[in-house]
Amino acid sequence: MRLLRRVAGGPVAGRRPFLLGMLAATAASIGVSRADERPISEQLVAVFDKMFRGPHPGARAIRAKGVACRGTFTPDPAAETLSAAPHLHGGPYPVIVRFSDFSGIPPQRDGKPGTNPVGIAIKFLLPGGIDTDLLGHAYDGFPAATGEEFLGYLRAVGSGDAARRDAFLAEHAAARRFFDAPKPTPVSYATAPYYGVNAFRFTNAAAVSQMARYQIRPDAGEQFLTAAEEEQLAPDYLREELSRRLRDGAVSFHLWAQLAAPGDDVTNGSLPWPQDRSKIALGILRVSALADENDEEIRTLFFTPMNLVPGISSSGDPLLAARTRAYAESYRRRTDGE
Amino acid sequence: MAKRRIILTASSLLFLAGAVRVGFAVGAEVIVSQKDRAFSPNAVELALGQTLSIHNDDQFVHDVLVNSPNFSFDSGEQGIGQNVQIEFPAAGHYRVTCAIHPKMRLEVEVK
Repeated sequence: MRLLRRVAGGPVAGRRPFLLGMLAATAASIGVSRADERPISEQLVAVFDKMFRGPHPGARAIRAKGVACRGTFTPDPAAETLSAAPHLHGGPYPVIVRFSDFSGIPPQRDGKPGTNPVGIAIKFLLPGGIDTDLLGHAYDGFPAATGEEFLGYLRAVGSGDAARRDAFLAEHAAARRFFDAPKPTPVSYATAPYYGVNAFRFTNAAAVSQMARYQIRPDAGEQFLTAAEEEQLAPDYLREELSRRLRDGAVSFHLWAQLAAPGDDVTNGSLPWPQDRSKIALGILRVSALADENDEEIRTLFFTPMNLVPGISSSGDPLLAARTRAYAESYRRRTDGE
Repeated sequence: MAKRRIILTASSLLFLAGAVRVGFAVGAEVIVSQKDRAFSPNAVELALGQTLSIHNDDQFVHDVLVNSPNFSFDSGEQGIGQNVQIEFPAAGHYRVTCAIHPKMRLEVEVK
């Protein structure tokens, strides 16, 4: 029996940069002047609260605004060469999919600062009441490699102090790339590409393991709004657009596993791998209808990249644990008393 | 530490022999199992000084968390077959959860 015992004691022209519009509202409110001894997960949630004027009762600390849908996932025959995970064999399997804006403000208007990159979370519903999750966002990479670094990024960018922000960005290349990258609003949640950020270890029935990252490509093609179009959006444009689109039939995505090549860093989600890396088809995701938001199953949805099944395991990327604990803290708070 | 090792070895042997029911107090520890993404039992009582031992009998990785005002615990990634031990510092009520599966809840009363 193994024992664990541990006691915790700049924008592209025409585009608004991530969070920039929120800086005025949150200026000087996020920085801290003394050591914070709370777990990183709680500190991350607290910083998001500051940024998004939360906590908002019953809402997630980030990605508070979203739309839940139902659909199916049909694995590709090639997927079983990569992993023995149950959802990558047979099928199709029912799924719950939640598309979301980044912001932690539930009524945030689509297309406004802080809403991009949009995200996707997929829950595969497997026989026996088991489920497993896949999360992605519409940016290939991440501004930080660890929870601590992400906290530093959020505090610097949200400080309202341009000199502090620029000093942080000058020393953190991934944060600089993320901050500067255009993050346009998609024409639809169904026209954005999504990236899984962190690598996972995939192990097949022959016990052969490979490191890979998820990519989710929209079959409708990648389409984004112009800055002028963003300005004219209705507050709930993305939800309404998806609802209209689904009346004409399911929307679909192809899921891929981007394989690591020798030398690729598999424990640093802030570093995208070159696009010419080999890929294995995992299957087709079909989103067919909006879900009933009052359904208990939907109301208490929780997604984390570490909700895994045999055949897929952690790569050892420390950001996986940091994300999981922050999401769990947000979940605990929004469901306290239930 | 030597004493704890002896206790754990004894409880491990009992586990293997099928002689221990989860939640059953063995000497200075109370044993809880994680199975099918649930704690079993889902509520236990400990005397102050007793150790809570949580064994991953599931087919999934877990991450045991306690976030109380006066006590925080985070096991980190708890692999299949791994055991997590917690000693609570004071009498009171604690809620143990899993960071990966937060619907898992174990209520602990330390007296």
